[in-house]
Amino acid sequence: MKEAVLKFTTQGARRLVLATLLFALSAVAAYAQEPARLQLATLDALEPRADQTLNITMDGKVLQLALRFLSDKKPNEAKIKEAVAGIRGIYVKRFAFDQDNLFSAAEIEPIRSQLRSPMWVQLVEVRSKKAGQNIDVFTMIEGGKINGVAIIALDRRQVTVVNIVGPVDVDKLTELRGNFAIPDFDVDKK
Amino acid sequence: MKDDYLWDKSGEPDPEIERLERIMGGLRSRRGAEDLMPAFEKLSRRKSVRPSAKWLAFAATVAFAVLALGVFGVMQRQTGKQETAKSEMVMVNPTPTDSLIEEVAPPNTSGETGRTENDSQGAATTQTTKRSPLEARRRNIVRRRESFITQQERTEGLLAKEQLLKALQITSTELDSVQKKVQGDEKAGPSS
Repeated sequence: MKEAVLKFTTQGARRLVLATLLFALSAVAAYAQEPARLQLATLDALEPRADQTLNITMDGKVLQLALRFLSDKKPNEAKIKEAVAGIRGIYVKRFAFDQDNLFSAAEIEPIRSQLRSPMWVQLVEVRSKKAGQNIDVFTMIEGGKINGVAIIALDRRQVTVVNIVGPVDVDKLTELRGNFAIPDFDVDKK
Repeated sequence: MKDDYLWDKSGEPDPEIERLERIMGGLRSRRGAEDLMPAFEKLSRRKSVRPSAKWLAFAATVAFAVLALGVFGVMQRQTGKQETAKSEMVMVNPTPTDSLIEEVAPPNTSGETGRTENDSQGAATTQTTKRSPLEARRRNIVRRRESFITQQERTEGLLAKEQLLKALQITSTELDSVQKKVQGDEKAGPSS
């Protein structure tokens, strides 16, 4: 009888420890599993050469906080709120240079290599030799829905990389232009 | 009968066996049964499960205690925040108290009340009147708490909003220029 009770206790304790471990592991895995999130840290190497730098990192919590400050009563802000609903993260890096060609394509390659994964699909590729402008738009499609967007926009004096994580309506995002009360791109001067 | 003595010493003693016992008795081993029988050794190893079971139970208890402490800490922090908010509050979306009860009322289901959708506003008000005043007051307080935030949260929120607007501005500008380029190419395509 004593042996049986002991065996039961042992098994129970083992299961409890295993369940706790599994729970902790699943929580860690859920946190780490965000396939649409790009690693943009390699771009920081451009910062010393850049005249202006903009770095925006907005994860779920910060986004939710920002959304609380957007009013439903103001049409512009309501539109923004609608476009952003469901998005889990927005990450933007922009570097503006005071001279032409202060960066090379190789420096953007680490970002492009991440976008070569079969999960990402290139939506648009714009190449303008005259303006020296290259824009690439990628989308991550999961279950028939866009679950992430990446934009790489380069010109002779500017590098912009945008990464949006979560369900995105690209048309709604495009329509947002002109809905902002703040002046045009105004990065902090170094 | 003699066999009984040999078996369990219960029968009539056999002098020959007694003599042999006396002779052999001096050679008796002083070691325990565990050394002589490997089965005993196995049995004793099984017994060593006891401490591991205790350790596992102890580990589980500690894990739960840590978890409970964590939950308690979070709850304490929440309470602390609420207390701070009481002393330093800023209203973000001031909502009239009277309208709160209406907002709290759940959406009307026509099946329950037999009303049409056009009547939903009226139905919501009717349902509110049915709710106990204590419940309505409790929900009212919860709503009002949610509509108040601290000065620090307000500053952080406004900063977050500004960042969001900047990020969206850049995104939409890039997407817009791509769209214009694509549309321009489409228009120019047939003529060229």
